[in-house]
Amino acid sequence: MAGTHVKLIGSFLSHLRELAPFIIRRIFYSIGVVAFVSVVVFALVSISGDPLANLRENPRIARSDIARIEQRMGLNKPKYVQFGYWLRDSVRGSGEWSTSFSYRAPVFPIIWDRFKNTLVLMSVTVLVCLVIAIPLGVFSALRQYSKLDYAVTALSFFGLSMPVFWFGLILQLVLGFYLMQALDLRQPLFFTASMYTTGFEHDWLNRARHLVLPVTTLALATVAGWSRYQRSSMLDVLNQDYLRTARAKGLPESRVIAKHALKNALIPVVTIVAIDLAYLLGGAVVTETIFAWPGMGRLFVQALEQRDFPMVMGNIIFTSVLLVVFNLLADVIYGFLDPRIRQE
Amino acid sequence: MMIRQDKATEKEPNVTTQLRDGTEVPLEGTDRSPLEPGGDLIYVAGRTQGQMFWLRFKRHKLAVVSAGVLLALYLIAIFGPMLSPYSFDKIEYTGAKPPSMSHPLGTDELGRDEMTRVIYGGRISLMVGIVVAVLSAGIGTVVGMIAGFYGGRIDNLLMRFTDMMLALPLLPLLMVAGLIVADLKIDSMWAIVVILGLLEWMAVARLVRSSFLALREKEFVEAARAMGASDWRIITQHLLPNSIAPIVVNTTLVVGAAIIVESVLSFLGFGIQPPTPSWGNMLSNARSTMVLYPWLMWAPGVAIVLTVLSVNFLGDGLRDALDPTQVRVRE
Repeated sequence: MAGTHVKLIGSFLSHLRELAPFIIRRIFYSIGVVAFVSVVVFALVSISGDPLANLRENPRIARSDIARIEQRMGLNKPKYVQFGYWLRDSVRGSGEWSTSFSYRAPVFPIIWDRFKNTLVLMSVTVLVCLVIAIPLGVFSALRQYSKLDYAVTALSFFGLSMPVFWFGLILQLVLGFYLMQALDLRQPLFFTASMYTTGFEHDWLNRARHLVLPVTTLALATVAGWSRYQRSSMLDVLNQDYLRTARAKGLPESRVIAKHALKNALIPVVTIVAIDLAYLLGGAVVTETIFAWPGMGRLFVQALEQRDFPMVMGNIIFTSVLLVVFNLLADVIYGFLDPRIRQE
Repeated sequence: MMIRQDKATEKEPNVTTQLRDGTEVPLEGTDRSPLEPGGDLIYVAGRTQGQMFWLRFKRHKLAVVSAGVLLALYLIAIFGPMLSPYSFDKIEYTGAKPPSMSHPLGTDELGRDEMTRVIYGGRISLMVGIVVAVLSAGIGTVVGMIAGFYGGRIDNLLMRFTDMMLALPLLPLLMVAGLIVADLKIDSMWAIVVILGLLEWMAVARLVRSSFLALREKEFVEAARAMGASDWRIITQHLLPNSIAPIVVNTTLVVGAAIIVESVLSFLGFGIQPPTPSWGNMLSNARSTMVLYPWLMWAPGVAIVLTVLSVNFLGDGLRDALDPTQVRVRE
């Protein structure tokens, strides 16, 4: 068994070496994309409101003080100079990016901190979604036009048409509040806000009870998408000639499905999962807002509301980098799993 | 024996056909099969594209129902406010009341009639959906058309740009744009429509481009060119009509996507600004008083799901009905 793993890693490394020119080209291109994003966002942010509006409206703050703050934050400079400042602060060796207006601290460590919380939420979500979506998709493909298949199709249409925030609110009201009333509890069985109850930081049951509702909320749409994708990919494979060959040479059906069909049907799904993963890790803005989850998404909403532009910029750049990296990763893995793609 | 038969009827069960003497018999399962020696001469009416489309479309029951639901929703949104005795922003000092005879969906915490507000919100949401879809389809078609028809450098340039646009993190950007709109006190609905239209065209552009790339090598295009047809004529008379199916399907789906995105933005406070009601900002409002006035939470959400579900089913039905390679409709 160990031998096959070593062989697998070896062939993956040789695949990487083969792809090196492609990867390098893609990295340069990705830098271009991130630069494009940062210019667009900076332009948008610049024409947006004045971060000092609140201070200006306050009659007790002297004009000279405001001028001093402007000076310190560089807000009195022309926009392109401000962009230069931002760029300089962001690429400077310390890896701290520029300074947040509202936290008065470097942006990157704050984002990183919140990112870890998002990571907790998303790892559980992705695990749950994979465990549900893959079998659902496979079985509905194996029994096409059966009751199960129709039920899965109906569920996926429903999941894709349901706005995430409304589903989250319903869960809060029904599984949070009404369930608590029905069971006559003093605390909800499934908590509706935050990551853990203060003081219960190391109580895993408490953490799990906080995870149930946000994970369910995120899972609905994700399971709907992935199971649908798995179904159609499985259907494609089931029509292939090599499956008939496998059956003809006398393999038991279970082996035909597990070894020959499923293995191939999973390949395109890997790509979708990798790309969705980037979106999820970038912070589920809506879900984190509803369930007061202290992750990247909520940080972004708060930064926008406070007009903390360095934080907004940092957040979007971080998300775009994630997207670009996972896209590249998806392509590399896809090429490794499906050698036919490598020709291009 | 002469048989004139068009492709669509070839495998369709239960299609009747007319014998020479004018009697109608089913094409399948009759003793007088025209294919047997001595069988009757049959005549099957030629069908126009439109008839074939309709025959296939009406097989998809859910899509037909969805089209009806959507039509009803649009009619309610257009004429509903004229029939309602209440106005959407008139504040009554009665506070929030659960559903009753005079207020079928209850009133919100400012005493405004919830049903009137849902209908008004529907005006906004449905309008946003349709206009964004048409706008993005327009931009996408033009970009895809130019890229696919001229190919080469222009294609490369336009597609690189499209890829760049696809790499933009959509929701965060929309939120920043929504904040600007709120700050500048522009009419939030039209601003949101334009912004969404400018960020949703990429899928259509890619579809149209790949369709054009495939079609422009076909013989009938070559023939048209040999006969001296101008680029413009080839594009509008030969390429575009043959690319219409993916455009229509995608445009339909964008209606649903735009309604969802608008509601998310409004829910987070970066979309349609109160007091103008939209389904999203009504739910944002309902969220803060969810436990006290739970009835406020249901109607806007049901409205969104109903609309988007119908749009998605309609898109599915259109995809099946517009696919020219599909001879047989789904079972």
